Amino acid sequence: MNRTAYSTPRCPGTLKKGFETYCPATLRNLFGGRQVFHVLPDFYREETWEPAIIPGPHHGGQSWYGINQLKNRLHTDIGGRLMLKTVFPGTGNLRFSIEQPANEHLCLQLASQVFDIDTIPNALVFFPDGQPALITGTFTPNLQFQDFNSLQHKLVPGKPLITYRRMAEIIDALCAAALIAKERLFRQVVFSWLMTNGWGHGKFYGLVKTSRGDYTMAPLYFACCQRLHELSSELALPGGLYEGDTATPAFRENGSYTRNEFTSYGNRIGLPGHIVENILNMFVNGKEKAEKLIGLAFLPDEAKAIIQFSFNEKWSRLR
Amino acid sequence: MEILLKQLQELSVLRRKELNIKQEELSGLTGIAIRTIRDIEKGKGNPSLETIEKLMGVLGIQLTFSLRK
Repeated sequence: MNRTAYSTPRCPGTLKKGFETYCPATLRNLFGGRQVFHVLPDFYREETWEPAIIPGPHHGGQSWYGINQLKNRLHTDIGGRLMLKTVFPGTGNLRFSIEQPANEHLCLQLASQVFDIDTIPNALVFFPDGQPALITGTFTPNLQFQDFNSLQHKLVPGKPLITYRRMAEIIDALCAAALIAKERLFRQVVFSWLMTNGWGHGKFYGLVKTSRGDYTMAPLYFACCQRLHELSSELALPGGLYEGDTATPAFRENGSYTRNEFTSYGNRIGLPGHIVENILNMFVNGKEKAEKLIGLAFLPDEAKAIIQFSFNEKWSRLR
Repeated sequence: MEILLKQLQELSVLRRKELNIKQEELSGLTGIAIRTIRDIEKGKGNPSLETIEKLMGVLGIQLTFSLRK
């Protein structure tokens, strides 16, 4: 394989400039330090895909596959510790559908690099024809990941998860270190709104077990700017942040959430006022860094412009 | 008291790692100065019961006292 033909001007993991393939940080975090290449020719031709399909809440023609790593080679394996998310051309009616993996990758990198959100390791990987896919870590069985939809069903059968406030109530019921978990939930919810992640429903947030056996907030493992692909609602959950959140004067005036509703949400879930303010300020102050990272994404310029526009619009309401 | 401080040191370091939380974040959530948290994690200082309770509370650890056997 002529590797130089596939070289990129930046790391397909961290998006750092000056790397022709994965940078050392990506290799360390995602591949255990092994020299995995960012293009998968052998894998593409020889592997059998069907048995590795992961059932789950996919959308927009996405397919998820279990992946295992043997030294520096990747193989399909339903029980693997990695996951490949790809999109097949022509599936679904979404705009820029083929760019879903790069969109998701950008959002996860923004979360971890700019907004200090605990995020599952991730990087882009390419098929020989250039089609991108997202490769991520998974929650190993010992972490016993439980998503909020399932937890709600267990706690109150028959009553679906409606608001993000309910997620905090579930945390209060199940997490010994509830304040830490709720602070993380708050960051994830604000970020989800900021990126117009209208697909970020309860299935994509959850809790994991610590080695001591109690629950804590799981790292973010899905984020996407839905607006790149189609019109998006403000938030994924139909009840929004909390009951009555759209009845505030600020929401009525703007027709959208603003800093006011997020402050109120933070207070209602029991976070101290100064923590809420600090987190919201952190999101406001991250604009310049976010713009730079969006500019480095593996996306066409038109797609970057849509994401940037969407981000700016939301950001202006957080000030 | 030395044994208690040693236990406190080990527990706070271990628990912070389990929950994957930085000292700075913990300081913000507890309202305890970062220097005090560092001292506790080094087994130094003489934290008040209120400080210990605050720190352990956020880390999800309950303090209990029992009759000496």
